[in-house]
Order: sequence, then structure tokens, then C-alpha cells
Amino acid sequence: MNRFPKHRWLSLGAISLIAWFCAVWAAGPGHRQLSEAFAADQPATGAAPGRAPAMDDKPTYNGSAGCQLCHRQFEGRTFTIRMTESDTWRIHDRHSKAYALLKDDRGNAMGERLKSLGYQDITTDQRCLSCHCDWQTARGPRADANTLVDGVACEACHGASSKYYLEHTLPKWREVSLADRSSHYGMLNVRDPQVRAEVCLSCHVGNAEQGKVVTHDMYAAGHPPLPSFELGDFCQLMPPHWDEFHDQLKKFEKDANTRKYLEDLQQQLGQDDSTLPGLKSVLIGAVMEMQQSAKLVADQAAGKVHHVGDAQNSDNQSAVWPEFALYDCTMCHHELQYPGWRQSRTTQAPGRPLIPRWPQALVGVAIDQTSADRVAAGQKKKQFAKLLDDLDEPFRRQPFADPADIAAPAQKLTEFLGHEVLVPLKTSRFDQRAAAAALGQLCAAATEKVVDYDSARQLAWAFDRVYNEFKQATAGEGQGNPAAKTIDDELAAVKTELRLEMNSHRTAPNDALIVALKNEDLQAAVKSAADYAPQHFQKRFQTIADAVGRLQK
Amino acid sequence: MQFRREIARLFRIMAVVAIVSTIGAAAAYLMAAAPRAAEEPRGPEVIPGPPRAIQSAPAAPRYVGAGSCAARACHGNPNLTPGQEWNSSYAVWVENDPHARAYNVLFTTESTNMAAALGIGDPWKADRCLSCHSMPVSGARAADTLGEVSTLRADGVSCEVCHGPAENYLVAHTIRAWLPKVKSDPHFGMTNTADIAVRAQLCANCHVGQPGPDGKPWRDVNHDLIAAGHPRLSFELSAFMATVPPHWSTSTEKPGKDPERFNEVRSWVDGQFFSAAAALKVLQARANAAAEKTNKAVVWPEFAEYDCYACHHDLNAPSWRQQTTAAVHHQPGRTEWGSWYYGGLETLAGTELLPAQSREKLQEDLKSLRGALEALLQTKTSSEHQFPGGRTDAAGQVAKETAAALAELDACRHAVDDSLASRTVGPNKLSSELVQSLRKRFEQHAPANWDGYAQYYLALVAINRDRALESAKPGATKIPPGPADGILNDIRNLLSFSRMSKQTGDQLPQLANSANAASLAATDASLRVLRPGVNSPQSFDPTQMRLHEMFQRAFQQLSTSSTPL
Repeated sequence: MNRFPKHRWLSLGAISLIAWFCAVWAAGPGHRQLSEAFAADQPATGAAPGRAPAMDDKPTYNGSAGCQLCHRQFEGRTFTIRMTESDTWRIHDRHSKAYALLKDDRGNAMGERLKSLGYQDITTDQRCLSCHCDWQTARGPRADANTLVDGVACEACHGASSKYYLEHTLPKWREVSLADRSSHYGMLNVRDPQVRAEVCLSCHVGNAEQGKVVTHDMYAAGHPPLPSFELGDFCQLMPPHWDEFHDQLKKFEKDANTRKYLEDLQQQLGQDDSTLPGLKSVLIGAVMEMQQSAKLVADQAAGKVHHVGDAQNSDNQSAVWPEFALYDCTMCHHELQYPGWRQSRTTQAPGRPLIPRWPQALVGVAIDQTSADRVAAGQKKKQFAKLLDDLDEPFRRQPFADPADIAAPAQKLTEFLGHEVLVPLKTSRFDQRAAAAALGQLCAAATEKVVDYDSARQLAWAFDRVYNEFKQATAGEGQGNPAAKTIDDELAAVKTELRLEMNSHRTAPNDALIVALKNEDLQAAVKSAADYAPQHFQKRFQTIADAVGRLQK
Repeated sequence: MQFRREIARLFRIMAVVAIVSTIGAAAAYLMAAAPRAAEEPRGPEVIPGPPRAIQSAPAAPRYVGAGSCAARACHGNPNLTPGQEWNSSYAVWVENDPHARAYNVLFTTESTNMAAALGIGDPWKADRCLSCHSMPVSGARAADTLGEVSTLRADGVSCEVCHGPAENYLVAHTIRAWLPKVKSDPHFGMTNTADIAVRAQLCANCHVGQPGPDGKPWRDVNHDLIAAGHPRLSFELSAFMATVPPHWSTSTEKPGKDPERFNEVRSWVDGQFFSAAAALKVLQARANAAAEKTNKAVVWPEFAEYDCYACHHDLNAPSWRQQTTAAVHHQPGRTEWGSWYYGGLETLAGTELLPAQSREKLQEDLKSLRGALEALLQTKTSSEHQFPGGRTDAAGQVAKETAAALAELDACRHAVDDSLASRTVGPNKLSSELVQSLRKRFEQHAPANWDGYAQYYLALVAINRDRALESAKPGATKIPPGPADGILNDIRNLLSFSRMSKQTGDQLPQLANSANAASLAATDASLRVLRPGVNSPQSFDPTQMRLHEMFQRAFQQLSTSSTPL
């Protein structure tokens, strides 16, 4: 026994495991389903040969502990991804503190106030956990109670991992198409802006079917206001734990195989070298934000709020109407002032709260980007305006609207956006020229009419993302140009005034692990919204618009 | 001799004539005087009245317009003479009273913007505006006038809006001897504005609202109108009466003749009742219309029924609203119904002016009505997916409960009337009783919102003013001038609306009808909390101990100064 101690057994096991991986890798012909290689492990189904069986049972959540074994300072190996994702998330990304927030001072105070509204314990209540931690359906065998503590961890966005946990570590994984990774292994294709938007918006806008709804009760008890959501810039603010294709391809300049693999992925996503992924995110996000908001209000009106795992308390499953949280907060929540800028909005019935305006802010630009010319864009915008008006109509006719009147116009609006805008957006390439045009279109949207605080932020975030990407792509061509400096200065001012950074970054890795929004920050945030002056914003963007014009000449 | 005899005869005849005529004159005098002496016990039918021809005028008299009152010899004397105020009442109204500009204000930019936002065309032609901003002769009521409709409208809220359509009394009331008859006989259509109850209802018709003859809201400043830019109505009779430039004699007012001037406190009490009654009638009309679902123009649920500042505040964190949710008996995120009219009434109902039984009954009715109205805005709909605010049965329920509350309100008012009459409390006694009652109520049940505090404040101001007026009367015990003035002023500052623009920090411009604001300021600075149309009360925070302490001190000062009386 002495000659063969325990650790020897372990190393033997490790060696045979590696050998086994190699065998699997060697056996796999190109682009074959990985699951075929695992045929022995998988229960046989009636799937066609060459195809993996579709997921017959839902994958389960395992928690991020397993991910952290590899995706954390895994230096010295050449991966297409960074392999430091877990640390970026844990140290810099506030999502990792989503659950801890429920237990900090504000969380405790909210929990006390919510008791009178039927919340026993916010650290276990599904209505809170649905967004504040990452498991939705079921916990898998590898997950324990500690999984909660992870907050919004890997699987919240990448999908429950029980079916890809092991599989995605194998070299053969490269041969699985993006579509199959998602449909057969449950790994969501978050490189696709549409999928990513869906994932983000399910919490950041809300998803009634998944039980992710921030209610007015929660706000009144102290939940910080959800900011409006702009996909492009928000991904930058996380901060990113991934590289765009452009950078990945650069990293593997000399590795033809890997380049081929990456280019293939790029192709599957409908992108190529000239594509600016930021612009694409902004535009696809714009449409999805509108769609998801309309769907949320329609689902709430239809009573479709579902709270997973809450069967024992059926009362909690019911939807309320009106749910104040679904209306535009600042339409009611503003100090009264006369004269005030709100009276200058002429398009709405005075005194009737409508659904939030901000999801519409960027749709016009998305339409511009997918239309052949101005005339076509004008027509499409008119159609969109009409559909929006139809959705607003029940809210104007009757305070809070009759919920029976909402599903139909919401459905029509969502379908129109899907067919007429999202489909062409997905196949468009979005190169530098498109970005240049988008900058002008964003400026026009920001200056043409009076917009509210949240819409102003949408426009500013989108501009920031597109402009920075444009600058990078043109490799600082405009440097030294006074127009570029004007844009930088004005944009910096807008960033401060509208608080576009939202305290999202921790400035240093050691900048405390608790990232609860401090009271001062929250106060500053709500004050920024309250003190917003639309004319001032318009003036800033007019200056930017002029500079963009000069820059492009 | 013969001549002398003739002269003596002549003298005798003259003496006889003189005696006879003296006796005759005396008899005539006595005969003339006799019925006058008998007037009191014999009742009103002997009051000399105008001829039959005048009395047989139309049963529903029509409006004639303020022009008929404006002659210099009648009510239009520009030189106000003490004791002859009636002679200048038109002049005072046309010069100083904001009511005279009620119609003109419809032509300002603010008004046209408002009408454009509401999509109701020209505000000076819209029935919705004219129902309060002019004599009510618009739309279906165009036939209610003898004169040109346009002329009558241009007068704004003129004499006849309050004193009644003058067709039947215009000639008759100019003969002094006929005046008592004209005033007392309803046939003449002259409103008895000296009666505080009548006056309270008159003011409330516009300043609170009124359903039309069809039972639908007619004079109605609802949330749509407020959102379009109309100032919110927050009516309190004693405060409003103190701000109207008086066009009647205040110096010759005697107890019983003009109870409002003579008793500010009574005016506060009746104002609470009649404002709440008017508000309940409008609510009933709204609920009925919503239950019938016939009138699409009626808004339901109506936001103006609820506390404005429950929603209308900038978001803040941490906020006093979150600290006090337990203390104010409201769950987070809910708004309170009827914070202005019924809040004041509940305060009154909590005092000992009401007999204990009526007090409990009224409080119960209001509580149940409050429950029904607050449920309209948020109810679980898992079973039927139907909006409670849009449900006709819910509206019908509110209508029914409103009717019950109205009946109870009326009973309570009579109970207060009887209780005050039977005890024959003097004015000072009444005000010190009210201070004690309000204080007790305040300590047990401090208000939770601006409306609640403002109502308490206005009650204290009425009491303070009452004191000052009483002590100014000849022979009254002098009270040191305004012992509570300072503290009331401090409270006012905490309750006042900011006049700064939030975005720029500049002073906000005055509203176009700033005559209104100016006259408010000139008349009584203590009422400035009611100045409408600008910011919310931003410095208001009921958890601030300072506010609570200030009220305690005001109660203290008003109680001590009332004890020696």
C-alpha cells in the first residue's frame, strides 16, 4: 500500500480522464453533435441520426462554485475566452451582490415594511429571489443553500448548467453549433444581442411569466427605482467579462484553426469583420426594450404573473391591476410646478398616467437603420406611432385603463416590431458607415422633441456606446479635430448630469465587497431625475449634433 | 264793536279748527302708528310689499346682469362711505374682488393652453369653464337670462351668482319699505346671503363642485383639469371669507345679522360641513355615472378624490413617507382618499362639538366610504382579471355609501346646530371649546399629510382671527394683540408652497390672474398656504418634530389666552 498512496490514485484518475477526453476529441468527426460522442451516457431517444436528442427535461442549476474552478485566473492556457470571468463578476460586477442586497440595511428595512403587504421574509420570497438570485426552476444536485449567496451568477445569464457543465469543457464543444448549444445543452447564446437582451430585460424591465416583476409595493417600501435599460452601454457598464470577436481574432492571429472556429461563430451570428457589435446591440436592444415593456404590461393586464415555486401561497400568484409600477413613475411622482415642462407635452391626455415612455426613445433610430431611404423610414415610423397610439389609447380613455383593452394593441405592436424592424436588424451588417449615420439619427431624436429623463438617458447611453465604438473603429482619425473635443466634453457633461455611470463600476478591486447602493448615491440618483430640465439636455445635444455634423464633413 | 265781535268769532272758529285739526292729526298719527306697533306679533303677511303686478312675475326668475346694479345711486358709488357700504358694493366688487375677473381670466395664455390640452376649444365658450367662470347662463341655461348672454358672461361671477337672479326683485328691492318682504319671500328669488349655511353652500357650488340637474358632475375641477393647469381647489369657508374684500358693512354688523363676521369659528364649523357635503354630492354623481356607464365623459376612478401629494412628490430616499407608513395607518404605496374635505370633517367629527353618538356614526360612515374608494385603486384581480376601478358594481357601492354618508352628515350638522343653540354658548366660549377639542384630537391622531395639517392650521387661524375681532369690539375684554400670530406664521412657512423653480432656482412667474394672489397676500398673509398653482409644499415633513411642536405651542397659546374670557 505504501508503494501506491492515495494521491497516486488521484493522479492516475486524472491522467485517465485526460486520456479519455483526448479519445473523445480524436474520435469526433467535424461538426458532429458532441452528444453522439457521449452516446453511452445519454439515454437513447427517437432522435434522427446525427442529431442529439432534444432536451426532454429542464436543466437544473448548480451554482457558480463549479464555474469558479476554471473561469478564474486560469492563466497559461490559450483559450478563446478570458478565463477570468468569475473574478471580473465577483469583484467588479454588482450582479454578484444581488442576493446580499436583500440582507443589508436597506434590505432589512424594506423587509420590515413589506411585512404589512404579505411578504414574510424577503430573503426567501420568490417575488424577490426571481431577480436577486439565479435559479428559477430547480436546484441541481451540485447546488446547495449557498447557491443563493451567489446572487445573479453565471447561470442567470448563461442558462442552467446541468447539461453543459461537463460537456463544455471538452475540446469537442467547439464543434457544437451555437443553436445546438442552446437547444440541446441549455447554454444560452448570449453573444446574440437578441438573446442577451431577452436575458437582461427579463429582470431589468420585467417578465411576468417568469415572475420577475418589481411592484409598486416594493418601490414604496424602498426598492431603488429601476433605471431605464439600454443594452449597448449597460453591457459595457457591467463591466464586460468577455472579448468581442474583433479582439479574439487578433489574439489568435497565428492560430488558423481557432480563427476558423471564431469566424464560424461570427458567421452563425450574422456578423463579419466590419460589424460593430456595439451598434448592433444598441439597435436590437432598442426594439426588444419596447417589445418587452409592451409584453409585460399586457401580461400583467391578463393576470399572467407567475411565481415559480410559490404554489403553497397561491394568493401571491395573483396579479393586481392597476399595478402602479407599470406606469411611468415620473408622470405622477414629481413635485407640482407651474409653469412646468410637463405641460409642454401636447400629445397626451392631461392627468392620465401612461406606460413608460423611455422604451420608445430609440425605436425611431432602429427604424432609420433598417429602412432603405427617408421615405420608407418615415412611413414605418408613422406606422409605429399609430400602433403606439393604439396602445396608449386605453390608458387615455380610462384612468389606469381597462385591462381587457391592452392585450390586442400590445400584441400588434410587438408583432410589427418583430417583423418590420427586428428581422432586418438581425441580418444587417452595421459597419462604420451605419455608425456614422446612427450618430446623426440619435442627435436628431434627442433634439427634435421634449423627452423625459429616462428617454434622455436612453439616447445618451446609446450615443455614448455608438460614438465610442465609432471612435475605436476609425482608430482616432478625428483626433485633434476640435469637433471631436466638443463631443467628448459635452458627452462628459451629459454623463455627469444624467448620471450615466450609475456607480456601476467599483473603482478598485478592493473597493469593498458590499456594493449596495449607498444612501448618498441613491439620493443623488433620484435628485438627478427630479432636477432634470429637458431644455438643458436638448441644448447639450444640439451642440453635439453640430459637432457631429462638422466631424463628418 | 261789530268788528270786534267779528274778530272774536273768527278766533273762536280758528281755535275750534285748530283743536279739531290737532285732534285729527293726533288721531291720524295714532292710527298710523298703531299697526306699526302691532307688526311684530302679527307675522310677515302685513309687511308692505310691492304691488301684485310685480309679484306675479315668472316663477323661475331670470338673470338681468350686473349692469342693472351698477348705477351710482344704487350700488355703484365709487366713494366708499362707512355705513353706506351697500351704495358701493358693485364698485368694491368690480375693483377689488377676484370674482369680477373670473371670465376675463379665460382669455389668458394659461387658460387657452389648458383648453387646448383638454381639447375643449375656446375656454371662453366652453360650458365646462363657463359653469363657474361666469353667470351660469351657458349651454342649456341660455334661456335663464333677460339680457345678452355674452354681456352676462363678461361680468364674470357677478352680483346675481350669489344674490340670486334679479328679475323678480330688481324693482321691488329698491323700495326700502318693501325690502324685508323681498328678502324673506322666496318668490322674489333673492338669496339670503346673511345665513351662513346658505352662504357656505353658495360658495361650495363652485369652490368645491356641484352636480348638474341631470345628476352628472357639472361644476367640477377634476384631475384632468388640474393636470391641464387649473389650480387645485382646496376650499375652507372661513379662510375664503376672510380674503373676499367685503362689499357689505362690517362696522354695523350685529350678532345674528351677519353670523360669519360675527363668528369666525361658527363659519369654520359650517364650512367643514357644507364643503364635505358638496364634495360628497359630486362624488355621488361621479359614482352614479360610472355605475350606469352611460356618460363616457365622467372620469372614474377620479384622482382628484385622493391626496395630491401622496403621489405628487419627487422620489427620495430615505423618505419620511417610508418612515411613517406604520404611524399613518397606511400601507406603503397607497394613497389616501378625501384628505382635504373629509380630513377636515373627520377632525371636526373627532371633536366634542358633536354629540358622542353622531360622532361615532359619522366616523364609521366615512371610514367605510374610505375603504371602498381606496379599494378602487388596487385590488387583487386573480379571479376575474377585472379592474375594480372600472367595475360598475364597485362604483354602485361607492354611490350607495356616499348617500349614507351624506344623510349622516346632515344629521350631524343638525345635531351641532341643536347642541350649540341649546347651550347658548357665547362666541368666545365656542372658540375656546373648539381649541380644546382640536388639541385633544391632534394629540390622539396627528395628521399624516399636508392636507391634514393645513386644515388644522386654517382652524387655528380662524380661531385666532375670531379672538382679534372679538377683542376689537367696544367694551370687550382686550386680549394682547395676536398672541398666536408668531407661531402661526412659523407654521405657515413650513406649510407654504415654494415659489422657486426647481430647475433654475429662479422665482416662478406669477399666474396671470395674479390680482387673485395679490389680494390674498394683502388681505391676510396667514392664508398664503392656500395660494394655488405653484410648487408642492416641498419643505413639508410631518415627521419633523418641529412641526408637531409648533402646533402644540399654537394650541397652548390659543388656550391660555382664551381662559380669562
